Amino acid sequence: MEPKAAEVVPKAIIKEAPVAVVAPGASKATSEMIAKGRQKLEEGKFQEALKIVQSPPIEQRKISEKLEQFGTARNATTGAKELTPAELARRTKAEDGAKLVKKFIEGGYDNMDTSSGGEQEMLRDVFLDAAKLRPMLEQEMQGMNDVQKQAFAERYLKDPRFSKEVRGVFQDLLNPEKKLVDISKFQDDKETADLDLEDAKAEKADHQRGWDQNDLQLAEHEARSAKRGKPPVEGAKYLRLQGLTNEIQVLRNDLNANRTDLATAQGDVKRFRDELVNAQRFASIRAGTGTARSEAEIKRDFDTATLRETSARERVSQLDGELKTKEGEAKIIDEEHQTLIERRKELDAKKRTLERAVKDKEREAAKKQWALQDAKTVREGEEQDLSDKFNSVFSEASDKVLNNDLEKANEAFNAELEVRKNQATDNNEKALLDGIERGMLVDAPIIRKKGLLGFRTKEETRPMSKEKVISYHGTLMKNGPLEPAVRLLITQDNPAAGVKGVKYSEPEARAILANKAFADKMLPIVTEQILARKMLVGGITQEDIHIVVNAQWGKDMLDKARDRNKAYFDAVEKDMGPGAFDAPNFHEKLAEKIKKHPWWLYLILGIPFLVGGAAASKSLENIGK
Amino acid sequence: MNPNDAYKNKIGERLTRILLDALEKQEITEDEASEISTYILDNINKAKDNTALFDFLTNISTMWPIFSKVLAAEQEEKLNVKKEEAIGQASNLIKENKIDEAIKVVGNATDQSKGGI
Repeated sequence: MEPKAAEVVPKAIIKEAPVAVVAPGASKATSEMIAKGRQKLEEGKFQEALKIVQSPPIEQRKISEKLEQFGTARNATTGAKELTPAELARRTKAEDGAKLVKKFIEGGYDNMDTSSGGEQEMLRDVFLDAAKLRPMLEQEMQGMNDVQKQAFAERYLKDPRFSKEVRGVFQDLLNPEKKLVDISKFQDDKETADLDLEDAKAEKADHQRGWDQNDLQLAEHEARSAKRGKPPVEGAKYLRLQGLTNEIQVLRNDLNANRTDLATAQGDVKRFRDELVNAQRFASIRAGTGTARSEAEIKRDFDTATLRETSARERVSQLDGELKTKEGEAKIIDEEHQTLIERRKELDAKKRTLERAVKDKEREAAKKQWALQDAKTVREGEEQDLSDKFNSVFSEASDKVLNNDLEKANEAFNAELEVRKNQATDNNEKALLDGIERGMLVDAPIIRKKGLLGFRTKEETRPMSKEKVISYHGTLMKNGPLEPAVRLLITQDNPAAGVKGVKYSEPEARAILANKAFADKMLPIVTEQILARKMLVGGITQEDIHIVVNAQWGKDMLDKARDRNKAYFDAVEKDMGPGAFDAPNFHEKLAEKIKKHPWWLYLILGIPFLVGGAAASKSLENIGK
Repeated sequence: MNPNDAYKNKIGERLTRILLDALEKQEITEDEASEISTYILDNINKAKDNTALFDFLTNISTMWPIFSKVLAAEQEEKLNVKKEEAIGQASNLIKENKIDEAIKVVGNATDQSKGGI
């Protein structure tokens, strides 16, 4: 039927709408993506247009911005990064990793290099390495040949979920908000500390020059003292000054001696003057007397005495002057010396302060140097991490997708049990389901602390016990599902007893499981749940597969899976041909196939792993029907 | 192409166009566009009939209001179709001289247009 007018007209109107101009802020890659989307839309392929938008290209700008974070030093003129050889190596490695991831995101696994040792092989190896770390998959993989391993890896690598995880991990890596530690602040601090140290050292050097000047002046004073007086034995400054004092004392002694001479000369003059007066008087009275000294003699002696007096007076005056000069000089020198000594004390005090300041600045500069060195070490580590992360995007995506599947597998089987318990009306059924749910868990809960320090809460969990699962699985393989069912039931309280803590006895359990309707309903559940849990904790061996496909309980499980699990049905028909289920000797052929394709067991059990070209899944809708 | 496919394609194309326009005008980010694309691709094929498809349209318009104009246009078109059907039905009744019934049909259609679909 043709579309109605009401459906076509608005479509035509919309088609005629003007093509929007790319907004200025849109990147080239986005614009190209929109153009491609519009082209597909105009071709009437809206789903293909959506797929294009679903996987937007990774903008090279974002990658470049992230790569630009490598390195710390910049060219002073151009501002461009100047990478050390180590930084360059890290950046190059990151860039190579980014190119690979971008290529994968934009073109998918099929777009990668297929050559031996090429990109596809590398991707498969990365995925298989991640898978091997899961006990559930490790053992399965041991049973796979190289072709099977390749097929297993490629199922995941081609799955859109994997691409989505790769994109998510890569975009998180490119997040511009995530910065490496900025060492420029540490460099600035270090440079400031170095400048402070230089200033302190310069101040100390300036001061040292002042101190040296003072020292020189002191030395000069000492030298002058040495020249002026009796030189000190060891040239000590104070003794030199003392020498000058001694010189003054000598002058004083000389002065005293000369004063004595003067006094003596003055006495002589007085005496001769008296004699002269007496001689003149005597001469006028008794002229011509020849016994007394003559006046001429007295006058000569008088003149001599007068000369001596004059000479002594002059000498006294001279010495007095010299003494005053020396004393003045000594005083000046003494004052200067005192000034220099006081100055020395001040300079010494400041010298100690400056020396301490230099030491403080040296310590500060050393601390900043260590802080810078630490920051550089952290930065190098971060850069290395970043470089490594560019090369571990696929590994991380593999972990995520595998963890997600494991989690879903656990949840699926627990959810199935919950649905069955809710549907169960029989207490024995509920007890057995409880037994399955709790009987294979560890006995003591594991306590984990959650949340921030100071706000932590305790969370108790009881994970699966590998030992118990292996034990129940061993019983299943050896004896079929009845024996593990008995073992599981006797771990539970018997509601019929009406007393808490009273468990089923073994005869009671066997009696309940002897009921055919009960056994037909519950034993397949026991089988599937034990097998599934065994696969989750450690995989299934080739011997197990042999038992499963040959035992009746195993065949029953396989037949049931055919009807309820389309992924399994499709995988078998695709591999063994249409109508394979009804072909003669199907179970024998299936056994061989499962040995070749162990992951079919995931499909059979409905474990949500990518095993047959499509993810198996546990549908809860048909449980109990 | 069955009618459901035609309707699905019409809705799908309209949603995709709105999505591309919004992305171009930077009303949504690439991540949002990717999320919306995934939602449309995951859900549009699950709708088994036109009613379910309309429910899908209602849901996506609630989640991302940029699509509300597509929903409004669909609601109006649905109403117009009902009106046309009512007019045709009333014409036939008038031809059969069933005037009262024709008035009733027109009245119902008018009430629906007042109260929405």
